[in-house]
Amino acid sequence: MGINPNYKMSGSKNRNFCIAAVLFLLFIPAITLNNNYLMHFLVLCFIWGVTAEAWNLIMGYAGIFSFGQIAFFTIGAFAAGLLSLQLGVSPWLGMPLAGLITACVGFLIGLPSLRLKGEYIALVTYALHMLLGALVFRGKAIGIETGGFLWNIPSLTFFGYEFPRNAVISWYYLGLVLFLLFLLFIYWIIHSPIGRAFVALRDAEPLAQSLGIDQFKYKLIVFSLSAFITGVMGAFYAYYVAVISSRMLGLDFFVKALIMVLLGGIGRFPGAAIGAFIITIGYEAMRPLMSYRLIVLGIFVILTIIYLPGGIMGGTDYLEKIRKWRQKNKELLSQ
Amino acid sequence: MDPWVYKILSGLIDGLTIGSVYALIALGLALVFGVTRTFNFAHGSFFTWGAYFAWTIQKAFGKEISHLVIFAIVIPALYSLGWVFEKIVVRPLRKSTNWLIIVMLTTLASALILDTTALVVFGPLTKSIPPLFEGRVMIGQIAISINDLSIFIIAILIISLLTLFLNKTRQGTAMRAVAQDLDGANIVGIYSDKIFGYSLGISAVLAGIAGILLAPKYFISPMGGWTPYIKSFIIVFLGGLGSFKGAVCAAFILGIIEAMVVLYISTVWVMPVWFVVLLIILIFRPKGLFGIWE
Repeated sequence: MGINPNYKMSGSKNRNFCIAAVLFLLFIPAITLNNNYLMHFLVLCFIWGVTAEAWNLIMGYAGIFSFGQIAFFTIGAFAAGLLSLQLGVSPWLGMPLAGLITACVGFLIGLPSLRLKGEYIALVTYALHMLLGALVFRGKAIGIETGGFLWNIPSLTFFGYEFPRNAVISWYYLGLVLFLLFLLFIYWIIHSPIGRAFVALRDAEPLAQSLGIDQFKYKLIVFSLSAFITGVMGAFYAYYVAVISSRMLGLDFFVKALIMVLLGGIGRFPGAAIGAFIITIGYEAMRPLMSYRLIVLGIFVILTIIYLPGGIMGGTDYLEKIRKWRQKNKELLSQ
Repeated sequence: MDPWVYKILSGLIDGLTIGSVYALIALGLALVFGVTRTFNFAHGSFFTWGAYFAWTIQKAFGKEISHLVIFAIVIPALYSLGWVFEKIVVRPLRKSTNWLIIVMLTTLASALILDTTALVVFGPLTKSIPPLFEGRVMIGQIAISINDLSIFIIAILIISLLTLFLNKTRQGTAMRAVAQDLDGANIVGIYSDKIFGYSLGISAVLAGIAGILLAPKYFISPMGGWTPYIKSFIIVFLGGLGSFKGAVCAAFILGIIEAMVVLYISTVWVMPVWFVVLLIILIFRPKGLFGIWE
């Protein structure tokens, strides 16, 4: 795992595939004849796709082994909900504000913890996750209902047109826009000087540091940016579902997001988003299994880690390896 | 005696009791971290399963069954659970690069499996087992429940036994050797896979016993192991990674802090206060109180 050793800066080969995928997603409502049930899951796919990809950005590229992703998502959702319910902030303003609040929390958590070694960051961020559960569950002082609920979060309005909750299509397109925007943003970060700094740090840490690349600074920047993206998606989720609860901090959500990243392949750019689509829809398809599906999910995580360490995107590496191995055999045979 | 002295003293006693149990859980985590250098995220599930094992035995044999019998059955069961866990979840991954981090992911997934299995088997309702002893003793004006006292004594006894095991026996010495230097231990012929199995087995026993000791106070629920788990890793952090002495000291310090917070503020603020204490310690002493490793 870790960053793909065959990491290349350009991905022009994949461009056609991306355009095709975007066009396909654009016409989904037409293809499915405005099927609300299906589109609802695609909106969730968009939300989780960005969240998983933001996690992948810090875990796979920046090498920050953070377990705080769901905590940031929840902070974004509750910040947006509280802003709109308590202060009457418009949802359009609420989303970036929630993102900023989440980024601030990420910055404050990152300040002491990002200097630590990998495993310890996981623990500090997971402590944030657990702490948040306790705070949300008993957050009566800041207007959270008993049991960690927020009800009746206002819907988005667009020039007097209120996004209806029973028709998903407007949410679908907003979600798609956010999904593409943030994926491009993450792609841009990976290929920006910050992303290159991480590649340098990974390939030759002493040299990179001697050239003046400040690991801590770049980690802090990426950690805060990832928190911002996650916070905005959390806010979008809150406005979309209207009712949020502390159940978001449950272990099932956490492991679901984790398997999205693992299945897609840690440190392989669009992998986590693809993983999000597979897991969100697959998990819904497993509904008849009831509580057992969490066990299935857990087993799936372990099997993926043991037998598919590079995820789906890593599968190409295997093909490459097999091709090379065959070639080697051929050469040996011909000698 | 002034009422506030009385209040503080009873708070101290509560803190020592709860701290001794936290020390048990944290020692299990510190042991596994020391030997394998990775954090076992299913440690809290061992805590829960220990309590559920005890509950099942009590259900099967009736309420009159002695706690000694329960311990006699539960300890081997927990040990096997930890040992099998190592065999399935940790060992296959040890050859891969970056396995320290991967193992944390698989243990997290196993925690989900273990917790959900508990939920499916025992249902979402909380369970309870009766306390070890009823009644209370009076020392001056302070009433101490005999149950708390026995919890404290059992926990201290187990901690001493563990210390003896690690320092005096062959297996314990081997365990410390692996903790100090894995390669070196392998060179002198210590079979490290076996030591990994032992350490996870022992840590499961420690967490499970803590679960049984706390079950009469806090009830048993499928997800109930997460709070003790998070608390135990804050303790391990505060004490310094890899230091047993540090873990025990930190457990008592944080136990007393918890009791004081409960007395003077409210239960809600225990975790935030712990977290703040942890962050402050990390800023000023990144190695923790007694940290010996980098």
